[in-house]
Amino acid sequence: MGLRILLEGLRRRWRMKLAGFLTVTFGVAVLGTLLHLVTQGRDRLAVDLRGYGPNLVIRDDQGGLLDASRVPAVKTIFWRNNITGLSPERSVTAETAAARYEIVGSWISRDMPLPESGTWRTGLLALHPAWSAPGVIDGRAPRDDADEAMVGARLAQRLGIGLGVEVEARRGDARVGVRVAGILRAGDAWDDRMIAPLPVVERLAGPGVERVSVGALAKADDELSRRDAASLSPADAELMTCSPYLSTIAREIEQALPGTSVAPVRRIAEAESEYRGRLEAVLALLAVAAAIVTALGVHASTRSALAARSAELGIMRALGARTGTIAALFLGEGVLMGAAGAATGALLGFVLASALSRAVFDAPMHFEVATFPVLVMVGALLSLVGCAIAVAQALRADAISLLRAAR
Amino acid sequence: MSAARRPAAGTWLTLAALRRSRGRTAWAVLVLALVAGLTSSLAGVNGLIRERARRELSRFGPNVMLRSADAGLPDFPREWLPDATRLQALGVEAAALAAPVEGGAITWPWAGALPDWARSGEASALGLEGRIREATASDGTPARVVLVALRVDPRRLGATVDTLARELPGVRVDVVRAVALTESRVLDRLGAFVLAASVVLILLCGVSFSSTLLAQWMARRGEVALMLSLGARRSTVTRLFAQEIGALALVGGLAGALAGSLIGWLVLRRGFAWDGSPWDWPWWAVVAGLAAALLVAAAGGVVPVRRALRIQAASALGGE
Repeated sequence: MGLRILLEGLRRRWRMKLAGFLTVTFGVAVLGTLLHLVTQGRDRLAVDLRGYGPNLVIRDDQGGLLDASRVPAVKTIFWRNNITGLSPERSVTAETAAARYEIVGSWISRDMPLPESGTWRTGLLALHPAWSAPGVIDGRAPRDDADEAMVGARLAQRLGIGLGVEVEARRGDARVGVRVAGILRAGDAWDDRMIAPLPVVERLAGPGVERVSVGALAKADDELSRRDAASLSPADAELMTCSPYLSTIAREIEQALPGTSVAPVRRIAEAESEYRGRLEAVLALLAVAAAIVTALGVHASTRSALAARSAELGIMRALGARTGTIAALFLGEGVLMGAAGAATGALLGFVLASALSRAVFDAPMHFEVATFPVLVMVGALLSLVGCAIAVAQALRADAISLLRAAR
Repeated sequence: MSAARRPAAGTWLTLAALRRSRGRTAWAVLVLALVAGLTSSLAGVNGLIRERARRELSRFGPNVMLRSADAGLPDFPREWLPDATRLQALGVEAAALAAPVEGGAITWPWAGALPDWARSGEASALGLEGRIREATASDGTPARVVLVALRVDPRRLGATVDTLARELPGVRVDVVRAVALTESRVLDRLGAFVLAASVVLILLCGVSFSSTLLAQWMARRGEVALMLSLGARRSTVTRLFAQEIGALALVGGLAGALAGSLIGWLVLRRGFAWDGSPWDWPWWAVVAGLAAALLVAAAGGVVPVRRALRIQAASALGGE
């Protein structure tokens, strides 16, 4: 009987119900949009900071050379998806007939086989995205499987060489001929170096790399991350392990590559941590504002919609319905409408967030499945609270007052 | 009622209407204050965040390098640089410098215009080897300055680099691409992101609360009908409602805009270490908040008043 009345109630006066449904849909859609934007936008904005260069450097803890074939183990750590790029590097001093200079052997842009399955494209170009901007490289970057090199602009000027020139690099008795495929105008220390694929430099200096530069997305340092790991309580230690602090990622890499030490690039790491920490304040303002506005908006609209139905309440009371029955009917209807509106709003919010993400970040959003039940519950709860307050107010009046107010 | 007394009577009626239903009035003021507060805080944050973020990003390092391989860098006048507050000489490097040098001072004539931190310890965090123009090498001989790192306002980067390259023959002027390009990208994305989120929020706030006010004022058809049946002209009724809406918007909007500005100021102060006082908050953000409250109040009020003026007084008051 109760269910039949509830379903009848939903069917009748559908325009009013539609307005309530749309209110919840719209509110939850915007909340969902902002939830996606705030949670994923934080990471998208952090990805851009990787343009400043690597923030971790792996070295042999005894000061020796590392075997480049061990590098893929970096992508086995728990926070492997936070690793945005890496490149094993070997710097040696080489000479031509005219001058001495630094030549850096590295992966330029190659597919690294992942330990689990598949490959991952990484190397210097992934670590230094600014190099891919127009005008930074004249010509092109060298190919990893060719005897080619990219020469820094100042070094090219000093050596008097240009694009397409064959250069012979010498180191002791070893000699390697490379063709200049590109001139790099980075504006920093790279302009004084020659960059060649790692196999080329290994032919000059023997196997092994002296460092692996890593770009990692890391959480801003806070009080917890600055504390000594040994002094942490079990709960804090677990919390720290579950957060992608730079120190946590560094420790995991050290465990995945025994015999290495991983140090942050201090200038980049500190500036990034500072900036990300400050960004949190603005994101928090947006999140709190979104929550307050959605809560008040949905609550107020639900109350207004129910206030317009005082005639129904009045008739029920006049026919002798019990307070509990009336409240259950209206609250049940409110929860159903709220949940349905919130489910639609959650999907709509994702579509809107994805559109905004394409406009702002040139990339779509990932649908955070976990947000869907949260948003549906929030929508249903807001609707329930709005209805409960309105029903409680209305039930204080007698049937005649309710019927007169409804006219 | 004489023409001279009409405004006073109208004001009295408006105040009476507001006083009669204090709950409804308080709710409307709260809603409009929220709209104004949200708008003014987000507008101010949008206006200031790029500048604040730019200062934060300057920690990533200099964006222009001046190098001289042979003769050392010449002095150059301050006038070549666009704006003292937007250019910071972060440090210099001496060719024969064995270790970072503490103390000393930059000796350009305009060095006094530099902020203290550019001449003291913080500059070393930028990874520069030395930071004074006249240095002494480890063997006691004067060292020659060959590198100056500059922090130029990214918006004036191209023009400044052109000026320096033109006026300093023999000096190489390099833009640090990783810093310049990343900074420009980060600032553009941050600005667009905060703007998009703010617009969505303000729209939600506006639409949702104007419909709330609309429902509230729709419930007052009986009042309009009573006024009409007592002989009030439609223009008088419209003016009374407009006064009421305006008063609510003004009170709620002003309170909300001021509170919202204070919250925005606190967020920038705590979050982005803004050192401005509350009086430095942009005045147009307060105006934007007030305008948003007026707009939402008008959007919520126009439809009910127009509808109420079309009804037949007798049918609306039937049985009263």
